[in-house]
Amino acid sequence: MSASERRHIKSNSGVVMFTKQWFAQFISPNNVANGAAHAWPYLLISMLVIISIALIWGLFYAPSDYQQGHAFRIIYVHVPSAFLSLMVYMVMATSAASYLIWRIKVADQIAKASAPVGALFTFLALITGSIWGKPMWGTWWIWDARLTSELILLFLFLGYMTLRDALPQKVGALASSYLAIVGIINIPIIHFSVVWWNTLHQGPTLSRFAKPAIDSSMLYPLLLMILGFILYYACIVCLQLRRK
Amino acid sequence: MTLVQEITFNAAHLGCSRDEQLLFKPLSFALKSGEALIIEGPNGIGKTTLLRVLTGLLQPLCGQISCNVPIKENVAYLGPHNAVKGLLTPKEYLNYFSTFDEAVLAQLQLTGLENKTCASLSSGQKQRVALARIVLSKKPIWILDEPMTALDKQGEQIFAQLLQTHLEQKGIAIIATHHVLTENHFKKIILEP
Amino acid sequence: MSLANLFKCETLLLLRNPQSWLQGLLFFTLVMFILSFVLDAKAPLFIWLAALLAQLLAVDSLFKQDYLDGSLDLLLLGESLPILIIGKIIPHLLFNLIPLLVLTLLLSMLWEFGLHVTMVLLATLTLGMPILFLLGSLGAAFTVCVRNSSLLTGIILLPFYVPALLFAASAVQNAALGLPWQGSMALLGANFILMLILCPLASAGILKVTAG
Repeated sequence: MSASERRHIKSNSGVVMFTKQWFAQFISPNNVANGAAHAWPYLLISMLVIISIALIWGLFYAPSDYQQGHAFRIIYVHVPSAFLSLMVYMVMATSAASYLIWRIKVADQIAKASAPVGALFTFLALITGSIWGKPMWGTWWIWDARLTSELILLFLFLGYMTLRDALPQKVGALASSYLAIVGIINIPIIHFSVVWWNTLHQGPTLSRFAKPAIDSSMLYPLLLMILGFILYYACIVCLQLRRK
Repeated sequence: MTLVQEITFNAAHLGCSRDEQLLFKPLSFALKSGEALIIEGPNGIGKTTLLRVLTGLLQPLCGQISCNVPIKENVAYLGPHNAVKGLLTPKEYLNYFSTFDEAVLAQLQLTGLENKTCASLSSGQKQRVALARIVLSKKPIWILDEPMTALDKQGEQIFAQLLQTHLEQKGIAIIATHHVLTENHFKKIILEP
Repeated sequence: MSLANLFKCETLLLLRNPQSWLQGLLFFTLVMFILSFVLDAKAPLFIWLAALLAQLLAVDSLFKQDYLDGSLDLLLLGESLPILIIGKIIPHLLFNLIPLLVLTLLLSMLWEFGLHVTMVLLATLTLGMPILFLLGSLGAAFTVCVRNSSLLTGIILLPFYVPALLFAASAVQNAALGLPWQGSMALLGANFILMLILCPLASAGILKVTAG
């Protein structure tokens, strides 16, 4: 091996070690706990501000829908909670995978904190959807693809929490991480259910590549509500991460 | 049965955990064929956990185990529960888990009991059935957790004989027990918190 | 412990302790009795529903007894845990499925479903119950060290049962209406093959964590 090759390898390993150490500071439990303790008041305040703005805008200032009248305004709670229920599950599943593969403890704490919030959002989405459905479709519930798969999501969150509680500490963390990962198949089913099957639920409103199927004056408060809910989720997770 | 291969079983700086807490001071040992290791320690120190780590059922918190043959295929494990199926008779049980041999049963003084269901045996007799399974499995590495539970004086002597035979056939034994095994040449480790 | 020995051992244990599978069958009979007499509902779909609930009872005992008496450790130390898990599931499956098929045949003759619907119903049960048992082994692996775990196992498993239930239900309903049922049956078959490959591997991984 020539001298230049040896130097090359040595500097490479140095870079790798430096990157690992730089990254490790973000996932060390101490740093994360401190960061969370500092961050949560800001998250709380910004969440309150944004949700207030979004609600007032959406409930009072956005124009009423030409078909549904004022009843459509429940969209400002229903869609963000449904969106968040999927997002929280994805975060939970990826954190669980990180914990299983690399044994990052912070990832496990994030997954544990996410489960109740995710269950709450799923429940909220189902309830508001049901309330919306009664005047619109004439029924509180129907076993179509989207509603059924959202209900399954609720069971997945509840299953994660109860399994974690029932087993002793480390075993519970590992077993529930497996459960979170196995359940990830449900997410594409929920998301694409309205595209794949003929459902009573309406088609996708927000899509990444197409123009949204909703007017801008109604869209912006909706996006703000989604942002507000994300801040709420981040705030709750920070509150949980504070205590070690 | 004489085992041909020499087996070495080493542990270097091995530490076990329950819920992320180190249970006892990390230990090291080196065993060769024909040697036995006795593990002693107060209740709750983690003898069972240590034995499960040695079999490969659990991962250690720190340290390494090395053995020149794959451990899982060559170990006969007797855990805190003796794995005896109450609904089977000793004959059926030994047939399913290893092989049935009249001679070993006779040595353990279980003749006449082969056709009674294990649930109707006393706990000492069940323990002997479990020991028969260990002996009949013909595996070179014995990892035994309190093997002399519920055995009477005679049973203890029989166990000592079986152990001696196993070691003479170039086997290795790691035993966690608080009973006194009279051979002084066994290696001993006392676990400390 | 070899696969053949495990198979024979499990069969013998199930014969000597019939409580685990008789309980499920009794539950099935009870549910059908209540549905038919009290609610006067005689649809083929209810047979599937009752089979599902009965099976939830049955899978709980898959690993529990072995965990309690210590023989699960011996399984974990054996070669190829996924194959051993399949070997364990098959006797439980057969003891639950065969009486269930007989009962279904009797009920469908009693309620005059017709040959076509009966055949489709029996076929969906034959494909579907193995799926439920494979998933059941997954749930049993999660809750092996929890006492009184039937409710927890049910909560965990319900999300994963839904696709199989959907396909079987649509096959049976289409058959009853005279519509083509082969598509749903094919999906059910695909689900079976997928579960056959994935579930033993997943259960083995989970057992190593929970019972280690």
